[in-house]
Amino acid sequence: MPAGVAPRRLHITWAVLVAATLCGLSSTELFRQPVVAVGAILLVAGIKAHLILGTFMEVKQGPTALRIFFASWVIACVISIVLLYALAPAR
Amino acid sequence: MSSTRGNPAAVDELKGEGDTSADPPAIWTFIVLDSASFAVFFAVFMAERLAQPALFDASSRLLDVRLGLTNTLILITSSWLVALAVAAGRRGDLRRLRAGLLGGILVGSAFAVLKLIEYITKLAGGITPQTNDFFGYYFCLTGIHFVHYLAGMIVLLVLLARARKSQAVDPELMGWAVSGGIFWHLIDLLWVFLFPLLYLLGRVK
Repeated sequence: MPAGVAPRRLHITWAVLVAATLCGLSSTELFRQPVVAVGAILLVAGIKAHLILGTFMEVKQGPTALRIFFASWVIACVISIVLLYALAPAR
Repeated sequence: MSSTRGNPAAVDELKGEGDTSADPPAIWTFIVLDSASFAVFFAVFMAERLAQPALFDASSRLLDVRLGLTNTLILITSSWLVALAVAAGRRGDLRRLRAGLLGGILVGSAFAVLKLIEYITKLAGGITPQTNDFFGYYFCLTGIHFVHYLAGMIVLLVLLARARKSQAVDPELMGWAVSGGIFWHLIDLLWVFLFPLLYLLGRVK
């Protein structure tokens, strides 16, 4: 079992997650290019997922295979969503 | 067929050899398979959007982004409280372990209230899974996520009951707390992608 995460780090992670959520929401109107806006929204989502996995779920302290899987999972989710958004015909 | 009922020695044999306290919790197998499934769901939703982006975006704008945003903040906060509970348990602080679990449950229960309000509002307005492909996926994806949420709430309630009965933080209670916490964080993790997918992409101008 991992040693665990210090409470202070958990507080900081929570604050960053809240700030990132609000930041992701404002990205819908912040960029002129829709693909760039979607890229920014998904980048924020990817960072949030990375923080939840690493700090709350303690994947950072887990086995290498688990760390590699979830790093790949986050990247795959972000890239596939942005790519499929970009491939859609103009509205 | 032999049975392990009433035979602790047989059950111990099934647990494997050696000291397993340093191993990652077995729940990770489920978490890996479940998150992989959701990655496929996200891709299928986006692939379906390719054929009718205007319909998907117009439908997405019918969702109340304030409810989606509030639910995101609720899950993040509930996750944080459960993570604090697990951290307290590791320090042997049973009082804070109980408080963190109770806080996580109370804050987390607001998610169900808002989700049900959202479902009822949509259904009362004539929007059902049959309305169009977007709402088919909306009800399906959020429905599967809601089933996870309900399972997570049951896990947290059972954990809290165990913690209230315990006199001290023992390794067994901690093992359950770590695994239960990981499962609860999965619900937050999946919502991190569901929120932009369903509520935000349609609002991009």
